[in-house]
Amino acid sequence: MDKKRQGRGKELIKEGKFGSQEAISLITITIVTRVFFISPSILVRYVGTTTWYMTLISAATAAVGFSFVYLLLKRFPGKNIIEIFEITLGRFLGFIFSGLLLALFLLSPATILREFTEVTKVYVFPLSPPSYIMGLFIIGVILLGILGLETQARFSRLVAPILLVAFVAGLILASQNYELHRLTPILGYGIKRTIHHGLTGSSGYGYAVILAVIASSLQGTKHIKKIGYISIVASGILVSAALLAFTLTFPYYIAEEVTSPLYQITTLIDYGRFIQRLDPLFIFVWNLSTLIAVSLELYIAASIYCRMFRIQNIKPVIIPFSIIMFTIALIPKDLETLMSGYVNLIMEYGWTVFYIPPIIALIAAKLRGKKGEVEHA
Amino acid sequence: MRKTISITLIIVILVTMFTGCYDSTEIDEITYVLAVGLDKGVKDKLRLTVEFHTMKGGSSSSMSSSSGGGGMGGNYPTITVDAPSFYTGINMINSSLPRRLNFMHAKYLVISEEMAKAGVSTYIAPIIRYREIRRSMHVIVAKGSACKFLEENQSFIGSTLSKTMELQVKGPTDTGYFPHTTLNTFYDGIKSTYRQPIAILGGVNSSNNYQEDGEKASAFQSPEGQYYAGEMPRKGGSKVELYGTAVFDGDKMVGELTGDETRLLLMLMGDFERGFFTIKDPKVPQDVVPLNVRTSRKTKIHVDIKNGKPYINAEIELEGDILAIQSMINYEDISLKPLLEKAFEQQVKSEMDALIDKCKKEKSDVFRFGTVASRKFLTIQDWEQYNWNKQFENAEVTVNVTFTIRRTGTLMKSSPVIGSEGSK
Repeated sequence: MDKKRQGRGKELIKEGKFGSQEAISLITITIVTRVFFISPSILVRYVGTTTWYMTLISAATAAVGFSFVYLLLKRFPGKNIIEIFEITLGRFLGFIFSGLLLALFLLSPATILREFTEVTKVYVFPLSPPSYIMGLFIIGVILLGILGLETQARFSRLVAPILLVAFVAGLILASQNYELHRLTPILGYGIKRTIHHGLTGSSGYGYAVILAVIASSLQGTKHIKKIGYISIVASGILVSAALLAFTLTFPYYIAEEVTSPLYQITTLIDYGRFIQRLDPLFIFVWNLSTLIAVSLELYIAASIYCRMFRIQNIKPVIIPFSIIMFTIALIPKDLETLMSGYVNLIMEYGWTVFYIPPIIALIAAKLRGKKGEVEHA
Repeated sequence: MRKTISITLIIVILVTMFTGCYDSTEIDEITYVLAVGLDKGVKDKLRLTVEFHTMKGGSSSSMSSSSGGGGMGGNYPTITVDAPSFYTGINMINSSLPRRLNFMHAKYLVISEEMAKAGVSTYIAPIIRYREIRRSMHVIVAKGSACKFLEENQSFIGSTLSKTMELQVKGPTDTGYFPHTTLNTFYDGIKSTYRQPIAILGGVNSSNNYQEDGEKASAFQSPEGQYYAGEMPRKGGSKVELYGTAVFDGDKMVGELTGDETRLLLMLMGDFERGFFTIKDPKVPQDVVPLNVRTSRKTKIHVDIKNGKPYINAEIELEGDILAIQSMINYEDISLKPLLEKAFEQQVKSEMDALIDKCKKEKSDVFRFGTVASRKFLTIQDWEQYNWNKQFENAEVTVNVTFTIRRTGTLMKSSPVIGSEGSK
């Protein structure tokens, strides 16, 4: 019966194959994108001057959480997490756990999309209706979704160096406004608070779990391990650098007020008459990375859905899912609702969906003695 | 076939949507504001003045026009309106203009002294929130009215006012007579737990302080930087003058610093770059020795807190060149050089002590000592509870100045003047 169940999911969706660099680019961009919008300001409200090292605690926690996901994948070589949930926990519980992941991967791109829209509307297109900005953006998301995961991965590998250079250049150029005293008091609102939010904030790095959904597109479990850890470490460094730059530029009492801190940092760059007003550079980075992040997360949601309901072709699901995402994104009536609702929910409780189901599945697999077939290289 | 239709459809949709973007604006549909002025209104709470470019060709001096009852300014007229708020004011001005005002290139935010003394937070808050206004614009407190200041703010050299304004605020690099205050640092300052804000002091110089005739001064009167903005004894040139510093406690202006005091402030802040100073000749007090002074090392500030009282130690290291010796005494000589160095050190130190006392009386840590003091605290709660801005008035500040003469310019020795009666 179990063997039958294990075999049923095979070859459901052909997502193509791609290498480590593509996967690292995909995951890193997806994680780092969040730092462009309102999340840094929310973090400052919680921990004050310590956001830059709090996020390293989050990354370390996420690496530990990812270890459980890796152990689970190692136990079931060649299987993705949806299939593993079903094998270890049975159809019903597995379905519920997969459903939780699906819900998170639908809510998450909707949140980024709305954050993107709000920030774009505040800083760049004040007269354009949100639905217009989202609508245009979703065309790109649908296109990438239909072209498939492999295209997304190769596209992200292509743009990753450009984004990295622009991102780092922005932070270096902004250094003219950095002041060290803004890091003090060094413990912010207290070390306990920093550690607490560091642990719960690991949700931001939980997107490495995506690797468990697309496991069949990668080159085996060992590669997944490498990709997962490298992505988390790279994201941790980039996010920490961005938060450090933000903290060095804006003191804690100002930082919590700013809608898009990184955008604001680039508007302050002024090296005389010829090098100033570099915000278009930042808009370029934020547009491209948001496109990749939203496209990937929506694709993952569609992929989970197809695997849950044994749908062979993912393409027809992309457009309906885009419409659902669009609708979810339109629900918050304002930025404050989005912050206290969606963003807060994902930041504070996302880890429960990313890590707890895989841990339960791992325990269940051990207790029930379930194991996959040995992977042949 | 399906693929072709889909691609065509996408291209058509994208092309139509992009061309009709809601926020598209043609360059000739907008007017760029160069400066914003805020005064207390008469008909309403706020008197808003905007100075903008008319986009007409030719130089400002060759054209003369007035706009909507505003100030005369050639290519750069001003419009003033009494309005309940900044935003309403913009709308009111826009209603009388064929083009929409755009603040993306605004360089000055000018606040009247009266308004600054009453508190600026209610007026700054909407401006900082406005997406078109960049936080890199400079904040000036105008002695008198901001409206008058902007009416007189015209290009004197060259035809481009925006360039004039950009170059003018670069002044502190060479002189140190006014601080470099952007909207970002000013806004940060009014909310800061580390320091108090400062702004550039501006004024309109009507040459009232310049006396054409009168008794001629025979000896060194006073340091050149003792004036406030608008008071310099000069005639000719631009009427607008940036000179000195407006000192704030929170959002209220509580005092002013002269040009000289501003240089000392910048030295203590570590922002002073270079400037010419004039000191009395130590041996012949009626003569002067001008010096070209610059910072040699970044100012070191050390703060200790004992029994709740802050003890501050500031180490300032300067170096400079001799520019002239009126008395012709050979101060270039290695035995006499220390005399000049000591004299300058003592002058700077005594003036700095007086400046610190003045700011302590005004309860305003404009020196940013708090940025060092905050290292003594581990959490924000402890730091905020200590309340640095309150504690500053109790601080004991010790300043040590060292000055070294590096060069003597193109002359290595001062020889005496020889007349028929011999040398003098």
